[in-house]
Amino acid sequence: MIYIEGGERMSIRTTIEVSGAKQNNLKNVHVEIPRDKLTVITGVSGSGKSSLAFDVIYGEGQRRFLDSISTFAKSRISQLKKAKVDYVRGLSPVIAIEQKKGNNNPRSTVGTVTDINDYMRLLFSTAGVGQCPECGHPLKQLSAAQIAEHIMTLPIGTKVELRAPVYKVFGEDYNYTFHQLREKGYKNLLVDGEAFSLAQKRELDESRDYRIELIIDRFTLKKDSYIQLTKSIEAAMLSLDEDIMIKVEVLGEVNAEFYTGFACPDHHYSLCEMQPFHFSFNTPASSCHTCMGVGMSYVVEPRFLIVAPEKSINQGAFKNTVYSPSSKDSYRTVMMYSLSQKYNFSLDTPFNELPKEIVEILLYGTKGETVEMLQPPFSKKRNWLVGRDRPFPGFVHEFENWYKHYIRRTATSEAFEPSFIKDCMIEKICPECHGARLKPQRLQIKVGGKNFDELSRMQLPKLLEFLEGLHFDADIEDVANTIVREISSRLKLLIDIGLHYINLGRRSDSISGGEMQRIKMSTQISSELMGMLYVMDEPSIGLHPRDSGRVIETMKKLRDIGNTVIVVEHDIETITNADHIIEVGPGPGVHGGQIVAEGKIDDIINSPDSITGKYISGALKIPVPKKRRPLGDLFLSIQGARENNLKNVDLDIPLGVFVCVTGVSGSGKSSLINEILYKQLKINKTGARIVSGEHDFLFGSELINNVINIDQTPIGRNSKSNPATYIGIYDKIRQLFANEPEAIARGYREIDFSLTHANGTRCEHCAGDGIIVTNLQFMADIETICPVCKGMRFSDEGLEIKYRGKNIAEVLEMTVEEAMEFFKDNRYLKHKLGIMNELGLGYICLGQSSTTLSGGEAQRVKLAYELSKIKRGAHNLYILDEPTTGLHLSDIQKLLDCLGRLVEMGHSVIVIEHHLDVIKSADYIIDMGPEGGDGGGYVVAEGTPEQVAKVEASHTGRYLRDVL
Amino acid sequence: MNEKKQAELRVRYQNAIDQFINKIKDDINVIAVILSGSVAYDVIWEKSDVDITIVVRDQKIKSEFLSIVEDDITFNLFLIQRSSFKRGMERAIGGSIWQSYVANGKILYTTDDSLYDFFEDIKKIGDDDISLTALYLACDLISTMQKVEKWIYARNDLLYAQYFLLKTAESIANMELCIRGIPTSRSAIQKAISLNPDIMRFFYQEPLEKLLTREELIDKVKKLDLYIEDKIDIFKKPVLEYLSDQEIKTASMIANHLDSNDHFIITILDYLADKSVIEKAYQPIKLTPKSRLSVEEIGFLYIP
Repeated sequence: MIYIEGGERMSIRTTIEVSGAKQNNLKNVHVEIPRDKLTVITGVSGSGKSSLAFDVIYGEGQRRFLDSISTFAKSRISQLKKAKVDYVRGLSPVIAIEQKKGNNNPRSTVGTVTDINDYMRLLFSTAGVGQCPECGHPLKQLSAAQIAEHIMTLPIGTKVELRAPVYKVFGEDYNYTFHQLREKGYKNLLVDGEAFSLAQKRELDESRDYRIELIIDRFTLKKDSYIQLTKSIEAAMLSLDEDIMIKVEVLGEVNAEFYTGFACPDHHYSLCEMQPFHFSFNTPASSCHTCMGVGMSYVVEPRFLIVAPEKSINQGAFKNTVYSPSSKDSYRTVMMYSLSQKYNFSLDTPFNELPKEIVEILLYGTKGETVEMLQPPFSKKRNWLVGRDRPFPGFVHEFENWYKHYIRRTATSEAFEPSFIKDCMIEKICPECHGARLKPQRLQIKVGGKNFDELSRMQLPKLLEFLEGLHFDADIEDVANTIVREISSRLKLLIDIGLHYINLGRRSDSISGGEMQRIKMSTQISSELMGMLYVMDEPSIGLHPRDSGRVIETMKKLRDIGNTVIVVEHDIETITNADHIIEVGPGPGVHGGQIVAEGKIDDIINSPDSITGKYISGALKIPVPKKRRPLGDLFLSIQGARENNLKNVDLDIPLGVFVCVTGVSGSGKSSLINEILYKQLKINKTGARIVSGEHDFLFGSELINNVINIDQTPIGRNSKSNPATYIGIYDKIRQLFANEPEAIARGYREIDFSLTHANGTRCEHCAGDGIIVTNLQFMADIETICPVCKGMRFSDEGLEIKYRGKNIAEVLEMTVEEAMEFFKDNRYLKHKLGIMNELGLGYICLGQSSTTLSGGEAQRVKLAYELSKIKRGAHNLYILDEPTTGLHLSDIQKLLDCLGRLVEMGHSVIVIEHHLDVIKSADYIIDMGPEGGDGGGYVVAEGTPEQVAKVEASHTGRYLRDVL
Repeated sequence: MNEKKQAELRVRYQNAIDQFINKIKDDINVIAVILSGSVAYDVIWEKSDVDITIVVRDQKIKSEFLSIVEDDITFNLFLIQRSSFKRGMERAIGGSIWQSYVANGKILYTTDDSLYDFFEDIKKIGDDDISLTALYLACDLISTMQKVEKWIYARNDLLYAQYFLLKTAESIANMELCIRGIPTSRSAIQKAISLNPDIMRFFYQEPLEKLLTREELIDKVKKLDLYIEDKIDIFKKPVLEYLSDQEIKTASMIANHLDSNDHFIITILDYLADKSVIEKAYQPIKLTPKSRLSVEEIGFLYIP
C-alpha cells in the first residue's frame, strides 16, 4: 500500500490484467497473470498461446512503452500492430526473448552478441604484453607521451630516428606492399639495415624474408621538441594501423641504459599504447588483411566451374564466365585451341569423357610448361598471340587471382563482380589468419601468455579458470581485476545456463535458435534489471533433459531479481516448476482461444477440461510402442566423420525404420546428420552445388531415391504463398473454378484464378494482397483493407464465378476441416486435405499467408505434403530436426503416427530429438556425446531404446530407463 | 629589365622577407619557412608575389591559404602541419608539380635541423619516379601528337595542326628535365633550351618562327614519334613492373594502380602494345551487374 499526499490510498497492482482479448482466435479472453512470478502459458498448437503471450501482452507492453519515448527513437524501431484487446493493465517495460535464429552475419560471434568481447578487448588493451618482433623480449605498453618523455632525457642535439617494422602483405609481392607504403607517404626504408628508397627500388628476392623497416621521422632534439615528438608518434600510429611497434634509434652514441625498461635492449623496439579497437576484428585497422575479419576466405571449388559435364567444351561445358565458346577471337579461345592441339584432346568431346590428365591441366594449368599459340581455324582475325609461347595457369588459378584483386579492391572492372564468388567458390578458413580474424601483429600481444584468438577458442569453463588465475603488475592490477571480474560474472552466467561447451569465437549463425535464446537470457540477467516483464518462447527447446533443469533455474533467477516472467512452454518439467499456469484451448484454431484452466499445478491436474493436466497426471500419455520394427539388411554407412567436433566416427544407419539421433547440445548430432549425411546425399543424388561436412566416405546412397529435409523454415516468403499452393491443391481448385460454365463463357483459364497472375481475376489494386500497406514514419505500418476488393483479394467479376455456391475467396477462407467437407466428392482434394487434418492442421485456412504460420506449423505442412504424395515404390529418406518444437503432447502423438505411416509406406525416417516421448518411440537410437564441444563427438550408444537404456555412459539412456 | 633595377628589386624583396621572418620566428608553432616560386630561383619583377610554405606544429589549421602583405608586397602563404608535410612530400612522385614546387625552393628558416637533410632528400628524384613521370609525359605527348596527325590528315587544317605541334614543346621540355632528374617548373622550356638546344629548336623555335608546310609538319611528327620511342625504355618500367606476374590486367586496373584514369592511360598502353612491348588482350565483361550480354574489355599483359 502506498500513500498519496492528501489523497486516497492506492494499492500496487499485483497482477497483469488482460481484458477482452480478441487477437486471432482468442475469444474475448479475460485473464489475470500474477506479477513477480513465473507463469507458464501452455496449450495445444494453434490454441492461441502465442497470440496471448506475444501479440497481446508483449505487443501492448511494447506499444505503450514506445509511446512514451521520442518520435525519433520510435521511427527507428519497427512496431507491432495494435493488438485487438480492450485493455491490459499492470504492464511493465517488456522484453521478448524469442527463438529467432542468430543472424546470418559472419562477423557476429558469441563474444560480440554477449558483449563479452568488449571486455576482452579492454583487458588486452589494458594488460596486454607485447614482444620484440625480432627476439621476443617482453615489452610493456607505453603511451606516445611516455615515449617522447623518455627520448627527451637524451642530450640536446642528439639525432633520433623513429622507425617501424614493415610486414609483407600476405599473398602479394614486395612491390604491392611498397606501393601501399608510398601511398601512405613513406618513401625511405631500410632493408636489412641498408637504405632503400621507394623512388629507386632494387630487385628483391620474393622467396626471401628481409628485415624491413620504414623511417617515419628524424629529429634533432631541442628543448621544446617534446610536443612535436609526441604528435609525430601519434600521427605515425594512426597512419600505420598495421602495427603498434615503434623503434627509437639514436643516431650516434648512446648509453645502453637508455633502453632499459623502455624497449628491447638489442633491437630497440617499443610497444605503443593499445586501444580496444586494436583487437576488434570488425575494425578495418585491426582485421586480417585477407579475410577482412570474417575468418573465412573463398577458394574455388573446381566442381562448380563445370556446369554441363555431358556437353563438350565447345558446346558450353564450362560456366560461361570461365570459358565462353561464343567469343571466337579472344585470347582464351586461342589458348584453348592451342592446348587441345598440344595435349591431343578435342574441344568437341563431352567433358566427362576427357581423360583425367586433361582435366587437371584445364583446372590447374600446365605448371609452367609453355604452349605454342596456334591460330584457331574458326576465328576470323589473326590473333597477336599466335607464334608466341605461353604457359597456362589453369582456370582455378585465374579465378583465385580475380578474387584476390576483388578483395584488394584493385579491380574496378565488372569482370570481377561478386556473383562469381557465389557461383564457383566455397568458404574455407582464411589462409592468412586461420580463423583468428585479426592481423598477425595483434596476435603477438598476450595476456597471461595467451593471445586473443587462443582465448576465443577456449571453452567457457576453461576460459573462466584461466582468467581467474591471472596475476597483473601492481600499476594496472586494480583496473585489470575489475575487468576480469566483469568477464567472469558473465561467463559464469553462460555456464550456469548450460552453454559450457561453446567458446567466444563461435559464429552466431552456427548456433541454434534455442541456444541463442539462452544466451540472450543470460545477458538479461547480467543487466540485473528489476520490474521488467520477460516473455519467452519455449526456452527449453533443443535442450537435453539433463540440462533443462538449468533453464528453469535461470528463469527463477530472473524472477527472483524482481521481474515478472511469462513463458510459453510445453515441457512438463517447466510447467510443474511454475508458480502459475494458464492453459489455452481446448483445441486449435476456432476450437480454441479460451482459458481452459489456470492456477497452480494441482488446479490444472484437477481441472476436467485441461488436456495438459491429464498428461501431467498420467491419465493420458504417449505409450511406449509394444513392438519395435526389426532392422533390415539395408544400411547407410558414414566413414571417418570429422566435421566440427566429431571424432573420426564410423557409423551405420539402418534404413526402413524410425531412427532417432540423441545427445546433449553440442554433442555433434547436427554436424553428423545435417552437415554430413544430408548434404552428401544431396550431392550424390542431385549434384547440388554445396559442400558437405568433412568425412571419408558415405556408402549406400544408391539405396534411396531421394533425401528430404523437413525443417522449420517457412514454406514461402511472400504473402501470396499459402498452404494450399504449397501442398498443391490450389492448382486443382483453380481447375475446378475454370471448368465452371460461367468461367468458360468468359474465357477464364486456370491461371487467371491465381493470385500471382496479373490481369486475371485477382484484384489489381492491391495485387491480390487484400490490404494496402502504408509506411508511416513514426508509427507502425498501417494496413488498410483494399477499397476496391474490400479484402476479398479478387475482382468482383472473378467472385461471380461460383463452384457449388462458393466463390474462390470464400473457398480460400475455409479451414482445412471445412474444405475437407466441401470437397468430399473430389478424391484428390479429399486425400490431401485429410492428411493435413490428421496432422492437426485442420484449423488453418487454405488461403492463410505462409508468413503467419509458425515454424512447427510450416514443418507439419511440409510433412503433410510428403505424406500425400502418392508415388508407389519410392524409398526416400526423411530427416527432421527437432520436430517437436511448438508441439503440445497431444500433437506429438499425431506426429508420431505420421512418422510411423511414412515408415510403413517404405521410407526411412531420421529424427534429431531430445523429447523423451519421441525417443522412446523410435526403432533405433544413435546417442552422441557424451558431452558437448570437445567432450563430445563420439557415438556413445546405439541400438533399440531398451538396449541404449542399459548403457551407463549414455545420458539419454539414463533418462530412458525411467520412461520405459 | 636592366641589372640595376633587378638588383634593387632583389634587395627590396629580401628585406621584406627578412622582416616577415623576424615577425614569426619567435612563434613556437612555426617549425620551418620555405620560399618557392620565382623569388626563389628566378628573375623578379614588380608584380612578383612571394610564395611561402610554412610548416607548423601538428594542430588543426583553420585556413591553409593566407595572403598577407609586407612592404606592399603580397606574400602567398601556405600553412601545413609537419606530419602532413612529411608524408605529403614522401608520397609525391618526383617530377610532379608539388614536388617540383618545393624542390625548386629553399629553406629560409627552421628550428628543426633534421629538416635540412629531409629537404635535400626531397630534391632527389629516384629512377622509379623518373619513369613514372616520364610515363605521364609520354602519354600527354602521344595524345597531342595524334591530334596533330588528325588535323593534318583528316581535317587538312595545317595552321591548327601546327598549333597542336607547338603545344608539345612544353611536354618535351618537361621530359628533358625529367630524364635528367631535374624537377619541372614554369620555365621548363628555357631550361630545356640550354640542356638540349637541338630538340628545342626543332619543336619550339621553328614552329614558332614560321608557318610550316604540310611536308614539314609530317616530318616533325615523324621525328616526334622517334623521340617518344627513344624514351620507351624509361617509361615502360612502371607498366612492366605491374604486369610482371604475366597475368592479364585490365586497363582500369592499370589506371588504378598508376593513380590515373582509364581514358588517359589507355593512350600510352595502346602505344606500348603497338610497339610490341606489351600485348593487348580482351576480356568479356558485363556493363552492369545486372546486364546479361557481355562486351569486351581491353586488357594488357606482358610476356618477357
